[in-house]
Amino acid sequence: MIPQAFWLVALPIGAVPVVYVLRRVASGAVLAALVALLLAWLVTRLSTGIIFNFLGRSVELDHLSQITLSLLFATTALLFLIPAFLPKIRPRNKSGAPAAGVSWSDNRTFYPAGLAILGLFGAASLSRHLGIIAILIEIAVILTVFVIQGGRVDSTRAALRFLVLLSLATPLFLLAAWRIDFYQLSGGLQTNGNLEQTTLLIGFGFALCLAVVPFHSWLTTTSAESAPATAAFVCIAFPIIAFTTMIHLLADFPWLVDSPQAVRAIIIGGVATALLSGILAGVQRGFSELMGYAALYDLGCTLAALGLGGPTGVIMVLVNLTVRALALTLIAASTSAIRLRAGSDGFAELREMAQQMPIATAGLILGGLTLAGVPFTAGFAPHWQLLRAMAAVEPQWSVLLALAGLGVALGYLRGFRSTLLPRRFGKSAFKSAARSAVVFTVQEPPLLLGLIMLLSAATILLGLFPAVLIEPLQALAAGISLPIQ
Amino acid sequence: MPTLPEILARLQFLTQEWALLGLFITAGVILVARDWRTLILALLAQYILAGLILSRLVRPDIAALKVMIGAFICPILFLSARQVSTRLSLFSPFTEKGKGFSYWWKNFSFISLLVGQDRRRGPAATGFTFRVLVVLLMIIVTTTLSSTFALPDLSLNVTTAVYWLVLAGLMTLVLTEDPMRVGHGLFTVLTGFDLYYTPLEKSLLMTGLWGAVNLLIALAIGYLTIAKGARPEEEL
Repeated sequence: MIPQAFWLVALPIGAVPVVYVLRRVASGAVLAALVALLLAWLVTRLSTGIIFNFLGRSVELDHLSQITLSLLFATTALLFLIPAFLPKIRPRNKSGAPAAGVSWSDNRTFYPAGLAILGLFGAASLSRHLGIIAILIEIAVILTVFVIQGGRVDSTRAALRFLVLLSLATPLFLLAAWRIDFYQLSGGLQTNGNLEQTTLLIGFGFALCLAVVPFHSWLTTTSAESAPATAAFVCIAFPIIAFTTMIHLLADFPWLVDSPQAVRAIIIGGVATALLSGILAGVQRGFSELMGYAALYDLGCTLAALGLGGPTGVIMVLVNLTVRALALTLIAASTSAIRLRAGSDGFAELREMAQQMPIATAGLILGGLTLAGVPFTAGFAPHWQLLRAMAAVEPQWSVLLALAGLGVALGYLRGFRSTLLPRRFGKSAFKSAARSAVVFTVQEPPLLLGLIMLLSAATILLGLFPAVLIEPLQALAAGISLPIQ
Repeated sequence: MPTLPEILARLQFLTQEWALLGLFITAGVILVARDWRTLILALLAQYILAGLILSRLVRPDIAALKVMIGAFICPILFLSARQVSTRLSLFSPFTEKGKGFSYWWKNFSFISLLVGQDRRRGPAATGFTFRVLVVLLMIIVTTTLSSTFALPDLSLNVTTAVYWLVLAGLMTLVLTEDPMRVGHGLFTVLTGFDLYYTPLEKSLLMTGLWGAVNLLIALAIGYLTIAKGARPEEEL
C-alpha cells in the first residue's frame, strides 16, 4: 500500500506537466494554486510518525513538518494567484516602453517550477538524513534559478548569486552528514575536535542557506531583481525549509549545541544580520530592495529567537515564520499592483501613488511595518517576545534589535512619504525621464485588490489578537523542544 | 579496445605529483583566462586529472564516473557559450578573402587565448596582471594551509589539491559576475570537494545523486549564460 504522505511529493510533481502545458493561460495558475491548497489541507490530515524506511534511511512526518509544510503550501497557493490576477498583456507607458515584472509572461515559469519545488521540499521535510535533504534542497535551488530569472535577459546577478551561495552550502552539509553517520556508527566514540568540526560545517551551511551576514546577497539581490511574487516565494520558502531542517537536526543531535560558543554564534549571527539589514533598509530607494532587507531583518530576528531557545523557542520561530509569510505575500501583492501604474517601484517614481492606488500603497506599507514588528501589526507579538527574551540574556543586543526594527520601519515610512508627495513636472532631463516611466493606463485588477484587502485585514487582526495565531501553534508544537536552554 | 584497468595501468607513469602540477595549471588558467574555449578545455583537463587522482583512492569505476560527469558538463557549457559567443578573432582571418595562413600566423598570439576576444562580454572587472598575482597568492596560501591543516586520511599531495581547487574556485567566484566564468569557478570548488568527499563517502546513492546534481548545476549555468548573452529582442 502506498503511504499517504507519498502524495505530498507525488501530487505536486505529478501536476507539473499539466501546469506546464497550461502555463500560458489562467487555468494553469489556478490549477497550480489548487494543487498547493490541496497539499496544505492534506498535510494537516496525515498522521504523524515514521512512514517507512528507504535504503536504510527513515522517512518520517512530525508535527513540525506538518506546520511548516502547511504554511509553505498555503502561502505558495496565494503567491501563484498573484501573477494570475495580473493582466495578460504587458502594460505600456505613454512612450510605449513595457513595464517590468507586471505581466503574466514574466511569471509563467513560476507555476510548474514552483510545484516541483514544493514536491522537493515535501520530500526534504519527510527525510531525516541531512545528506538527502541537502541534495533535495540543491535540486530545488537549481529549479529556482529558472523562477528567479523568469525569462529576463537584462541581468543574471540574482539567479547567479542564489545558485552559487546555496550550492556552496551543499558540500558542507554532505560532509556533515557523513560525519554524523560516522559518529552514529562508531557508537558515539568521537573526539571533541571531530564534533566541533561537524558543528562548524553545519553552522556554515546554515549561514549560507539563511542568508546570514555576510552571505546575505542572494536574498537581497533576488528581492531587487526578480518579480515580486517569485521574490517573495524565494524569501519565504527557503528559510522555512532551512529552519525546519535546523530544528530537526538540533532535536535529533543535541550534542551539536553542547558548546556554549555554538549557541552564542547562532544568536550573534541573528543579531548581526538583523542589525545590518535594519541599517541598510533605512537608506534604500525602492520598495523591491527594501523588501529584501526587511525580509533579511526578520530572518535575523528568527535566527536569534532560535538561538535563545527555551520552552518557547520553537513557538517563537513558528509564529515569526507565519507572520513573515503573511507580510511578504502582502508586500508582493501590493508591489505587483503598484507596478501596473509605475514603471518600477523606486521611491522617485511613486509620487502621488497613495492617491492613485490607496489600497495597494496601504498594503505595501502595512506589510513592511509588520516585518519591522511595529505595534498593532501581526509582527509586533513575536518581535516583542524576542526583545524581552533577548533583554534577559543580553540587554545591549535587545537595544540593537529594536534599533534595527526602527531602521526597517523608517525605510517604509520614507517610501510612504514619497507616495504622498505631488508629482514633479520639472524641465530637467532627469525629471522628465522619471515621469515618462509612469503608466497611467492600467486599472488595478479587482481580484488583486481583494487579496490585498484580505491580507491587510489578517495582518491587523493578528496584531490586535495575536492569541488567534499563537495558541493553535502552541497546541500543535507542544511536543517539539529545542536542546538550547 | 582496452579495459578501464588497462587504461589506468598505462597511466601509471602519471604520478600524483604530476597530476597536482596539472591541477595547479588548469585551475590557474580558469582563474586567469577569459576566453570560454580555453576555460572549457581547462575544466575538462581538470576533471581528467582529478579522476586520475581519485582512481588511486577509490574504486576505478567511481573515478571513471566522476570523469564522465565532467565530460558531460563541458559540452553543456560549450553549447551554451556557443549560442551567445562571437567568433574568436584568432581564427577569423581564415574566413576573410585575400588573407591566408601567413597573415594569420603574424597575428597569432597565445595571450589572446587567455585574455579573450569576446566583445559581447564586456571588459573584465579585474586586469590580467592582477589575476596572475591572485594565482600566485593562492598558491602560497594553499601550500601554507596544506602543511598546517592536513586533511585526515589523505596524502599531502591530495590535501594540497583539495585546498588549491577550493581556493582557486572561490577566488574565481569572487572576481567575476559572468555566468560562464562563475560556472567554472563553482565547478572548480566542487571538484576540490569531490577529491575530499568521494574517498570518504561509501554510499553509491549519495555519489550518484551528487553527480546528477553537478549535471543539473551545469544546465542552470548554461541557461544563465544564454540569458546573459541574449540580445534584448531575443525571446528565451
